[in-house]
Amino acid sequence: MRPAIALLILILASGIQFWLAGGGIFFNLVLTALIVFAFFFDFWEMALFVLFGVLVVNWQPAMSMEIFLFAFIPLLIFALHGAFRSQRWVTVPIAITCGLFVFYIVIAPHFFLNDPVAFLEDLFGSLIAGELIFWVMYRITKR
Amino acid sequence: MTRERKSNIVLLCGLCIVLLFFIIFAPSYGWKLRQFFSASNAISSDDQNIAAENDTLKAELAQVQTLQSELPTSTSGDIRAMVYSRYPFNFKNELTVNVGSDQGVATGSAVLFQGMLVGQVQSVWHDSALVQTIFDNDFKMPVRIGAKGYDGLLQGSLCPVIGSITKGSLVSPGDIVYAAGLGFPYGLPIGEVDATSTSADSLFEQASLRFPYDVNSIQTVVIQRQ
Repeated sequence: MRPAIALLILILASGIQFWLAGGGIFFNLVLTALIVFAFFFDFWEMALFVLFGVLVVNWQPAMSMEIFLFAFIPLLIFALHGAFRSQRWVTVPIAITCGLFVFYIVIAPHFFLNDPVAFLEDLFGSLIAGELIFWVMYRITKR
Repeated sequence: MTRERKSNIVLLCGLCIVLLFFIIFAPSYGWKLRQFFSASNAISSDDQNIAAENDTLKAELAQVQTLQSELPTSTSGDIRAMVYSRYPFNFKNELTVNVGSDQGVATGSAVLFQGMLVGQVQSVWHDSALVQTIFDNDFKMPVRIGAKGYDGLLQGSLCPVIGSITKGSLVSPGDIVYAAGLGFPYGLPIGEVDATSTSADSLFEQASLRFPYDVNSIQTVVIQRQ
């Protein structure tokens, strides 16, 4: 039940991200969803979600640094999240912020430095989405 | 580990392998999924068609009035392509199209939309190609403006700007901007001047552009053979 709902959330996040991108608004909702899932699922479930995210997000028939980081960041957070399991309400937004920051800095440092407002807008939207996704997953897990 | 847990892991491994197969060998299924999610991008309306046609005619007129005799002969043959997917983040502006080296696409080819230059082929695979659009931050090319052919440098971005225009040039809103860069057929229309201003260092003039199309709604392009 939980993985099915998570997959549905991932599909919804993909849809909203690309729908907004069509209007020139960029939020990394898929990456955010994967980061939140790192706090709720086991390795193989995470691997499945990450691969699905890669399939949907990848825009060319080749590997790129963007896709590598897109897959690596959620898995890295999964590897580290065990130390902060009891404080997820705080660590999830921190993880989203750090994940997006690393993504921007490694992929496009000039873009980040020249237009920090774009990063802040992305972060704002992603944090709201991340908290929403976390709340849904938390409620499902509590049952 | 319980039997149920083991069978779940086996199932998850199997699904991961299936997804890996699609990612590596059939990425187009992912693109189709994205197209399904994306907003319905209608093919340009009549207004956009008319505006694009107007810009194309203006560019042709500018060529005839000034430098027609110096125009290089253009190669014949165009390759029509569908836009498969778009760069999903906000660092670049790239398109993936459904034609590649098997159809004759080469790196550096000009990519047009309704007769207007929209980008350049950056990478080519067997049956797909990556196009860097003029809205990409790393896109730069020499251009000329209007009937008098004032020189400028197009700097790509979400709102492309032409810089390095000689101060005192009589560039006006509505002037057509056309390609004058190496590797591009001379005179390809790009857009129209929207507004002019002085550069931050006051040494040059600069001009913002307006386009008769929305790059996010482009679904088909034409790639010129080199």
